[in-house]
Amino acid sequence: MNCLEFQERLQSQLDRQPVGDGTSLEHHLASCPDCRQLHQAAQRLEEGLRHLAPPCPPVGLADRIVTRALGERQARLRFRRRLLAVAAIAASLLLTALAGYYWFLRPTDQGPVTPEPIANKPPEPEPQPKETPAPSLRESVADATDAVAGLAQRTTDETVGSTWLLWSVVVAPPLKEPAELPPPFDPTARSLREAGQGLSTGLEPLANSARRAFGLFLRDIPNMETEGKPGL
Amino acid sequence: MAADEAALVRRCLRGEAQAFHDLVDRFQAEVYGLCVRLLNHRHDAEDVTQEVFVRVFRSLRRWDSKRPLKPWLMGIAVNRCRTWLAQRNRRPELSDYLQDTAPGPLSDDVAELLREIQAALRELRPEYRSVFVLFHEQGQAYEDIAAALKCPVGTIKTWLHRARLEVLERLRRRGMVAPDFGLDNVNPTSKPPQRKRK
Repeated sequence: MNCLEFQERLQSQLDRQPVGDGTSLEHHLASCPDCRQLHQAAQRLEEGLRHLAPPCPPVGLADRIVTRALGERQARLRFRRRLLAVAAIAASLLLTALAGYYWFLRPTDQGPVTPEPIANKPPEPEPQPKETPAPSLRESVADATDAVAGLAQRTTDETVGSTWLLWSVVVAPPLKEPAELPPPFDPTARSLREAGQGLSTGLEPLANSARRAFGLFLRDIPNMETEGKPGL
Repeated sequence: MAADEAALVRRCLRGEAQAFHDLVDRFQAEVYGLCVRLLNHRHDAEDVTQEVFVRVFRSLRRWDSKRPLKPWLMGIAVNRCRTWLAQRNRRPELSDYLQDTAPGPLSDDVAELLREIQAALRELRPEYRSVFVLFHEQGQAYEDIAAALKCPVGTIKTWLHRARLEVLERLRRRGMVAPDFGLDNVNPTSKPPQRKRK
């Protein structure tokens, strides 16, 4: 037996496993002081472990543990109930909001919106605004004609209806034929003549004033040729 | 056993206070003992034990009823102790000298041996210490320890072997074995000589 084999045997002995014959061990221990010391230390260790009593738990520890564990359990249950209540309220609010949306805001001609998986969906291009083709001129004129005709027809119908209503209520007096009609005149010549007279009458004060002011101006002007050139 | 545990867990899930009591009574000694060994502080161990059971009750629905309950529960305890140790390392460590001895009078030599073993355990890395305590003090099998710590069985064996060697080395270094006087002391089957007190 060598030192390595001795250590393996020592571990087996401390493992409480059966060990083999002690003859070879005795021979090795007789020749190896280190292993001999180790062997004695192992025997002392076994002796000490036999006397080593496990620590006794203090009195009342079990009661304290159970009290604390039950208290924590109660607290955990209370927290879970609160969490469930909050979750239920939140779910109710969400359902109410969804129901309100579907009842009041959702367009009637659209079906229910089904969520689409977006994980593998390729990105969609940006939606382009739809270009409506411009109406042709003929179509525009036709539309305008129809609109005007419809408006005129409606106005005519209303007028005729009102007239018939008034006609049935009001009794119209009989028409009298005038005894003598005034002679016709030439409206164009008369109006031009009257316009010329009115214009000359209206401009006459202005013309007189302008004429008088111009005369005063000429009278007050000194002899500009001699006074304006003193050096001459 | 598994059916019994499953029934107990079902009662706990229904909120029966007596089932809570039964589950705590069944495992509190092991959980508290592990916490004491890993934390080296009784008050911390008590706090962590409470946290462990609160977490256990909180996550009982995630327990696989086809597996034993104890490794799952001890795994939670080890994880809580690790977290607690990480938090405690950021603040000054509180001294809490453990005096865990078997009932009945002990000789001074055995008491000193126990103190040295506990000191050696405190010097171990947390994962080594967990494996050592679970195996030697709580008598769990390699497979259960592996399930609790979520590690392969080979890793657990390696950690335990290294932990033992470190403890043995400390015992030898601290004079807990008789000095080597030659071949006369060699007797692998006999009890080693008692260390002479100074």
